Amino acid sequence: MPTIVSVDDSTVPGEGSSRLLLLVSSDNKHIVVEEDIMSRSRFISKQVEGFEATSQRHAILLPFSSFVLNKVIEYCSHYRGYYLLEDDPDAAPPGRSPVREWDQEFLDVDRNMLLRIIKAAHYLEIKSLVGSCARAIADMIRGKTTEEMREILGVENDFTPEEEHSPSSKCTG
Amino acid sequence: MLSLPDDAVLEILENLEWKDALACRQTCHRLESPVRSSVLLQYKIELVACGMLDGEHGPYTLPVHERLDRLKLHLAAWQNLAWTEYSSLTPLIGRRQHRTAQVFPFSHDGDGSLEPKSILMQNLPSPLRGIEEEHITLTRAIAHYIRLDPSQDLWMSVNTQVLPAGLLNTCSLTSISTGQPHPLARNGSVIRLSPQRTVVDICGDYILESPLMGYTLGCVVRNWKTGLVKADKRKPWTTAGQGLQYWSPNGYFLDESFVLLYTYTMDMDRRQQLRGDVSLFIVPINPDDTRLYRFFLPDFLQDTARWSERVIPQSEARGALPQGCFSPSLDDQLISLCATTRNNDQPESHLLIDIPVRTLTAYIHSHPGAAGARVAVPWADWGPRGARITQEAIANPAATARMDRISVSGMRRLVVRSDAPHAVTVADYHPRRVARALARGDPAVVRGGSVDGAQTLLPCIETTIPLPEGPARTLAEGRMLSVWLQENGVLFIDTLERGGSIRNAWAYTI
Repeated sequence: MPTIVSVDDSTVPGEGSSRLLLLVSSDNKHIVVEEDIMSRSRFISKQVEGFEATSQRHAILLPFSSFVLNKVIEYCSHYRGYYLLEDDPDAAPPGRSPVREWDQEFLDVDRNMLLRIIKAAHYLEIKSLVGSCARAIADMIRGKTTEEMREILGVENDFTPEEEHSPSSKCTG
Repeated sequence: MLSLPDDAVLEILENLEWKDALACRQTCHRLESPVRSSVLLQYKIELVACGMLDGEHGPYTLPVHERLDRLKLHLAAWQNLAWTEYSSLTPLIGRRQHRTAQVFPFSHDGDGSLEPKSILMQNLPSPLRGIEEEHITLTRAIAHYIRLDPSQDLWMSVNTQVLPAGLLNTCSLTSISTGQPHPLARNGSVIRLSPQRTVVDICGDYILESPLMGYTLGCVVRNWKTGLVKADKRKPWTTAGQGLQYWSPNGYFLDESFVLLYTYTMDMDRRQQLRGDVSLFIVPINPDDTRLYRFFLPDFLQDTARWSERVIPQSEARGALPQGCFSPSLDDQLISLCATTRNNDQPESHLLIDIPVRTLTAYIHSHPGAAGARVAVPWADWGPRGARITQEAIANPAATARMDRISVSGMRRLVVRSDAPHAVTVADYHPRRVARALARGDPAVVRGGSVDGAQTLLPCIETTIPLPEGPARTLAEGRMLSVWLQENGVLFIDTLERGGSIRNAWAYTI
């Protein structure tokens, strides 16, 4: 099924020298986006380097839906041209990612969507977005009991009763 | 959640604080292993279990994994006390002043006159916490009574003048770093205090004046920046009674909300202490809160009972000194009282009463009392469960020397004992460190103690080791030995007599 599509190599009028990329989502939607918007993604950047090496450009297939992909593109468009320390592959990893107000509003979505976005961001290697999603998910379970956490995160208790009562899982270690 | 890659799961969990991380660890196997393997989460959990707070993070500070290693080493060093190489500090010369904050001031006599000419403040280094040795010399006319708050660059000296009209108490507020009047003291740098002999303490914007003795008990809390009185807690209080006087040799801020006054009553006709009347008064600072709590101590503490020393290392407690990579938590403070029971036909025996400040504040929070209530709390209601009372063989129990053998830092108390050979005992009352030691069955956990039939139940971790060679020789030769326990280690000082010139100092740092 992977369709090799050749992308127009010419620059877009009025948008500087940015070239276009064709992204294909898991629901088979074709989305055209400027390359420098997506340059925040290490995954896309590596693909583009591959295009340069082989002088052949093709569509990039992504394992998540267009709904999620559009959300990620929205994020990348917002920060187009901004330097975010977490996304700099050469910078030392910051101890703790900063809180960005816009991200908090942007990520004010339901739990499933948040999990899908973090998965996509992880796949695309957009560290800043992974960090913001991680913070948002952590906020949902903060101050909750173990039982409430299971509900929120959609996980099952798979401990045996012995494990559950063993001191190693209860006490502060 | 389950289908997320491991490093994304880790990234989520590392945002959690220790409590949530522990709860999360119990949800399922999938989330348990990242919590266990994450260095950051381990560090957060370990900090709490050790009763420490994290220090600053920045591009040039230690990475988390190294902090975790150092934290474990720090805790282990306190648990398995051993005298390491002692370091020689910058020569400590002159006379020891009253310790204040976490620094140890020494006054230089200069030309040998009684008036000290300058003060050297010494801060113990800690290789593990990344704190370097620091000393500052203050040179300006020094009053005999000083208080330092290095976190606010504040040096306060109290001067008493005898005038025909009575005593005139003033306090001058000076910047430690410049020696000039403190820039934040708005109405001039000299504040006129109440005309009584007072004990003074500093906490943030406020200073406490508590009269040393009087027919009424009370204190005044004043903003040192403006000089204005925030709360005058003298008038509404009961007087001691006919021929009686309150004596409060110690008073300080417990925290931002309460003041503690250690008080006993003197029978002025007989010139002796009233029997069974030693108590801790707790006064709310809020001027509208007129409650008063009185915690009684056991009634066999007769004749004398006194503080081992001023116990709260306030600057570190207020959290602004050089912190290193981690520092002790603010809420954990211990009061340690040294008392004597003396009956005419029996030899004097020395008691130590260790009281975590939490014991007192927790009681107040669970017994809020009505507005204006006078709440008398008998020893039986709070002491047996919340304090620990022990009989100590304190080295060289000459009355003047006793108080220098005991030292408190955070939730630890150190005492030099006269058992043969001379030994040092450190008791650690931190509830989480104790809980953890109990969980692993550590034989060093001691449950309470009992003296004269008074049983106490508060557990602690107790470690005893012989005195190191130098200090032991000092004691054997009958000289004065002072100890100073700090979060960073132990300092022994050898002086000719109390308040005398320093001959030698040994610092064992962690």
